[in-house]
Amino acid sequence: MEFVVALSSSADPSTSPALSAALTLRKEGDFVTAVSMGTAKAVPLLKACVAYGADSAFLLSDPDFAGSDTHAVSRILQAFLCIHCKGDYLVIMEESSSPYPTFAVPGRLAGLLGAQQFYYVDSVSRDGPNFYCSQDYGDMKRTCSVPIGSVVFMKSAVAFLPEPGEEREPETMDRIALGLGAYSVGKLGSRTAVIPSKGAD
Amino acid sequence: MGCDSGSCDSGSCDSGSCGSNRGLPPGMLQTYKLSVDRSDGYIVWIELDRSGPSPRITEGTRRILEKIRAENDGSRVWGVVFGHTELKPLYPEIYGLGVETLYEVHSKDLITYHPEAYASCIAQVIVRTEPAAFISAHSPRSVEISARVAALLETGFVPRCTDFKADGRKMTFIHRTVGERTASLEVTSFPQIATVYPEGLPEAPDRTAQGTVIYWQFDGTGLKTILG
Repeated sequence: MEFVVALSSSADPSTSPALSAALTLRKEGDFVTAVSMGTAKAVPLLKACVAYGADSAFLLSDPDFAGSDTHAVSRILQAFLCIHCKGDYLVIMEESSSPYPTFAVPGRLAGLLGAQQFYYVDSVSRDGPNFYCSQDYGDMKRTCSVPIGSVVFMKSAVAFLPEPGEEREPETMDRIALGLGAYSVGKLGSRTAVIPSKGAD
Repeated sequence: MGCDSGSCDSGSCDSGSCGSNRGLPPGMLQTYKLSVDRSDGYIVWIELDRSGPSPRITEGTRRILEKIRAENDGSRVWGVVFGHTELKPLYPEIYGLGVETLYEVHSKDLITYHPEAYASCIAQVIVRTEPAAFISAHSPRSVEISARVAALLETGFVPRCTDFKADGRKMTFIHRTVGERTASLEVTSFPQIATVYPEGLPEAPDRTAQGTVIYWQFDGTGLKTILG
């Protein structure tokens, strides 16, 4: 079983609810993989994820990724999962405080994968091979069974991880390694665009 | 109703019988190439507040439809709603908000919120109606449904908008970025999908009207296992 923790480059691994959940769910024989997209600025984040207990970390980085909207970002993550995950897995993401909150990516990714999606998750638990989560939509709370292959999107929360250990460099995967064409990523692969503002007359 | 009723979603097409899954990676849903030149009109998810004894249309949905009424230059307006016989008393209000044709996904199972099923059905209705835009009031549910619909239709999605404007069938979305800063965004394919914060939009007066309802068959797939 693999827990793929997909973090934005602005996440704080020391208080990451997604990383904390994955480390808590992990049992003997399971793996926790941290993955992030971005430039070399994301390397410290991924090194810290390994220090806090992730078994491996991947940086998805390529100049062609610049300007990717949520459509292109989701395709990049989907490509990573298709290449990297050979067995059972769960994808765990979290709300980000970055300038572009990643609310759209989990649903997009789940749609591309044909997987179930679980938004606004407070907690994820495990009973043997079965996983469960509690969701809080504000006006509704419920507990659901989480099938293998699902995408879990955790609510913003502070989680305290144990003292970090040794850091390790992440493995980098570029567009070619992910098997993506130039028109699948970046501005060319995006489906939204910023409309330039007109200057004052 | 053939594929329109969702039989493609049940797996017959995934097995290759329809041929629409050719060349896609394992596990990837069949996709709809829908960015067609004839896309026109608006489709709105009618979100309901089911906290009371009977369902009510959310204030956000009402304001979205009122805004569409203001921006619309004669294009069609469709609505999609999920539920069963408890929805019938809402029809006059829905039509009064500007919906001409209402697609009711008629299922007791879908009185409960299931995002995968909701998104799948909305995507199917969009393929049938070919709107230029799918706009919802921004809410915890609408953003996750809209994201999934955008993936199914391989189109763009702009969440967290504060306003939108129409120039014919081309939309400009005012997207909230950091704090109170905004940016104007466009979706470069059809349908153009967005969720819009309703607070800054005009209130919809109470009015009723008549319209058409089409019962859309739900194929039973995409339901979560809800334990409590």
